[in-house]
Amino acid sequence: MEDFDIVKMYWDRDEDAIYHTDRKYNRYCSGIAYSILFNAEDTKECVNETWLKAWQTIPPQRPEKLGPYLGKITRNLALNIYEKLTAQKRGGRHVDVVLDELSEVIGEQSDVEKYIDEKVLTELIAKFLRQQNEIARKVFVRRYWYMSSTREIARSYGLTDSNVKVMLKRTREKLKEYLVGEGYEL
Amino acid sequence: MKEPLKILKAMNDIDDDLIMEANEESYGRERKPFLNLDFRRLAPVMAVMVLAVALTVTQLGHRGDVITGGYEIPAESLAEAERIASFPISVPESAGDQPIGKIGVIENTAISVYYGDEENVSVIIVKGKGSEDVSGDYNEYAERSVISLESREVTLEGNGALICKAIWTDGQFSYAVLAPEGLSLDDIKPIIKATE
Repeated sequence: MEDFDIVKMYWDRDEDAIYHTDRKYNRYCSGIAYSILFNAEDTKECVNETWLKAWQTIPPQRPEKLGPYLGKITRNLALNIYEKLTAQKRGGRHVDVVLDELSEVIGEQSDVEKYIDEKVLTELIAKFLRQQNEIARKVFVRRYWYMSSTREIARSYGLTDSNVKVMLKRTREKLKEYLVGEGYEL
Repeated sequence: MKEPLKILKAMNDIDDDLIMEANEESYGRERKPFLNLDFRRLAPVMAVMVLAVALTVTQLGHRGDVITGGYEIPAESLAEAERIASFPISVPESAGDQPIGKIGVIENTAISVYYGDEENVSVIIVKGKGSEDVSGDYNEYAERSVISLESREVTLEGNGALICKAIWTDGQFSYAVLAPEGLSLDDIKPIIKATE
């Protein structure tokens, strides 16, 4: 079923919308959640919560592309769960590794919150990404949006594992330079 | 909130096209071929991944009404993996002292069973449809031999006394047992025997 038709069902308050959403996007959203949580049960809960949020937000929202819309909800929920689990010392090591990498851009001790509003940071990152070459951009998004392992990314783009790591490192360095260039003390 | 986590959260709302572009398998765009793969490091682990994709290059992504994510997805159990792959698999409960850590599956194509934890995979068993070598491991090993094990004719490759790769086929399916650190013949034999 096309996204347009599923979204219409949400607007019509037709509960079959959730059935069709689950059918089409369960694996996509499960993949996103699992990459963050590494736990099948937490992943399932996260995906179910995504469907609920979709039901609650469409309408008023009318997403043109349901995949990214649902993916963002899932990812956000999964990161919140990850934060809670981390507070309980049950966090996933995979995200810890990703965060270690990103600490090269914004250090643990940085008080970036004082300087950068999250929305502004989103816009800056998006703008930065558009300035990168296509492969560097895709690799960065795969790593830091989809939380894919470097092995998975290498596989997807026909690169070696070390190519991916070097590319990510360079892009992180550039991002830091870019944010500093925009006037932010990191 | 940890500051690096702030970047991850801020990335959540980047533009849809950036998200879709990075996962083009899911949205039906053509994949690039696998070129210049370097399997010298962590070869068997990567090999399984490459293989799984290579097997499915033409099948991934937007499968009719289902958005798959375009890559190996986790299965909660072997039963679930079998259902998604559309074929059965039998593997040992453990490889040495390592239990099954993760099961990955690509729809209608291949099942990968990883022993050990996420950071320390000791053995990977792959079963894939077809008779092509499913190992995807293109390392050149010093030793190569073929042994008969029950009804299987198994090709073993490794270095010295350690076997890193065992492959065989039964005509309809291909199998691989990969051991990144190598296993002795006595250790790998029961794994091969228990894999169907």
